[in-house]
Amino acid sequence: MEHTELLHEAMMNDTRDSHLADPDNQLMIRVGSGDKNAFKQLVQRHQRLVTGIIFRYTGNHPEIEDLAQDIFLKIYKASPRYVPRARFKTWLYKIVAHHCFNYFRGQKRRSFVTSFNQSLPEDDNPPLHDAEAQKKQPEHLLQQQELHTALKVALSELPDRQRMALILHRFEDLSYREIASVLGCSLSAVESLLFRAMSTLKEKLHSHESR
Amino acid sequence: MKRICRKTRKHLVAFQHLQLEEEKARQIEEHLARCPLCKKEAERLGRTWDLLGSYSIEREFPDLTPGIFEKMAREDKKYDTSSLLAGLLLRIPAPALALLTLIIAIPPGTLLGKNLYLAISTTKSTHLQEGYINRSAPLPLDIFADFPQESLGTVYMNLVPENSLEE
Repeated sequence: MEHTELLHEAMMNDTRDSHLADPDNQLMIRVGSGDKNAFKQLVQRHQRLVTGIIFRYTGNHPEIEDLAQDIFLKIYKASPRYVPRARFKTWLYKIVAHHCFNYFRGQKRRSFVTSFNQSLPEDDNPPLHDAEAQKKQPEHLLQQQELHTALKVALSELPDRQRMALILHRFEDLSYREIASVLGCSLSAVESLLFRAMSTLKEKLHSHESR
Repeated sequence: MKRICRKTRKHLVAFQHLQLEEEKARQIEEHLARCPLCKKEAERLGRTWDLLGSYSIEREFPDLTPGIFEKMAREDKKYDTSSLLAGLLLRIPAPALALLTLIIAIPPGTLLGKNLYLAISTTKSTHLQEGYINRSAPLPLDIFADFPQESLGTVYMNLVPENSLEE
């Protein structure tokens, strides 16, 4: 019994040490002691990841940068209390996911879709009825853009947790176990979220599959 | 749709992403080998997965650090100006805070007390003049006489000098 306890304690210490070796965790410890340079480094290391998730989650919302800045501010404020119990990235994903959920929870679905459609920049979504533009651009490019828009719309129509689970799995390569930790749910719940998300997308993107 | 097909399809996504346990994965693999409908469904899901991969971020985002530091400075400034008093109050130890409250409360308290005293005495003198209060009436101490031995009433009776009762 005693031996098992010792073994468990040793394992826990090993895990803690391995997390302490994580360069992001080392940076976070420095940020916690007020090192603004360390914070700058941390932001520069992860800003693409954060903006990328928000971009895909919101479908190019006009406030992506503002949201990402707020997330990093949250991290800065939480840094004095930060204890490296896991990989920093797992914690970061949690903050990003919950910030996105909270930010858009207040907004009604319709208003979100409206803002989502408005947020598509002109160069990103060229007017397809413009015959001259169609002539200038090769057909496959137009198809690509159509597909891109279809993907955005299909993703934006998924329920929040399904969308986030799918983004984390498809674009961030997170395993089911990691997604479960980020979203605070069981493995089977993650499996169910992804199954439902993929089934919906499969139906919505049916017309693009054959191309 | 057969029950086994429905069950298989539920796990197809996890199977394709290698997230299933070995035993379960083997069962699904076997089912896919003999069920053309489920195999077709798996292929469609695979194509959707590939399509999703083409959803790239075509936009470049500027460096976020200047904006973040600007926000931090703004928050610091807000804290400096608006919550300076609150911050000061929090830093003052409790006895000093109590003393400060007492000093602040004494002048209005005295003023209020004086006014109340004046108001009460004015009312009393008015009542006296009108005969509402009869100061010469004796205190009804006899009521204590019926109290049992060693009760509060008896003790009080013993303490009060006899002549005062006679009066």
